[in-house]
Amino acid sequence: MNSFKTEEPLDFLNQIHPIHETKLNIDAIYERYQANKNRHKKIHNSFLLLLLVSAGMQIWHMKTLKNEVHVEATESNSSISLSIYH
Amino acid sequence: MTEFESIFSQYKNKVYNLCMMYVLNSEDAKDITQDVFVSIYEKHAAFKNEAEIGTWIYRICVNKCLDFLRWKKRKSIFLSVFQYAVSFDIVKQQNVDLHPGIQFEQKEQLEKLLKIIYKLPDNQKSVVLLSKREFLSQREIAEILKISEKAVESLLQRAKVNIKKQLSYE
Repeated sequence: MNSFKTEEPLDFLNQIHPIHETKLNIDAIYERYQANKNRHKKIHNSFLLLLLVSAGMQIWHMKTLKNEVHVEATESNSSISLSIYH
Repeated sequence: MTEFESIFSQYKNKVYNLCMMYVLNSEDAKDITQDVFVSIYEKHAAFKNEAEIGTWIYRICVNKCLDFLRWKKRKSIFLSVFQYAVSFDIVKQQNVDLHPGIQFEQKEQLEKLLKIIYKLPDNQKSVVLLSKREFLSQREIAEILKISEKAVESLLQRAKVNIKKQLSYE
């Protein structure tokens, strides 16, 4: 057998490398497809849940802010007092 | 037999062999082959042009292999930041899975050649593998890689020069 140093190296590659046979089964493809689909669904659902929780927290935060802070202004003779309390 | 099953039986070995040439590892090649066929399964119904199906499958396969190699390179660079012992050169660590039918005296030479091809830039590597292993014409390779036929020719020439240069260093 000639060495690839004396021949065209890429022709050598093709002469000596036989074809690999794979035992890959079509059922493995269907299983992987299903697993990928489920994974994407899970990611999508998690993202939706996160979005929902974040929106809920935002609403709750705004509501509590509105309820917590009370502003009262009183006027007596020559002074005006402003009280802010929870 | 469904359309997908006939595509699978016709192309599974071709896809697997091309993946082997790209990644030099049977486990990774098997994994990428599965990914390629999952993509084909998802999209084959929308694919109308029967005559070009081979080109389409090769394109998916090449893209998946190159994506895998880029991911592997990024992973190796990332790991090397934390572990000094890990080398940047993933080719040196790469175990080449050769066909059991290859004679012992040819194994070393073939391994050397495959590692040199592995180190070539993406486009050159694809052109070499598609022309010298898959025996595709320049027109077909140009369609798969979405480049001109002239570009294919020039990439092949550059790859040959690079391979010879690398061989002369060793």
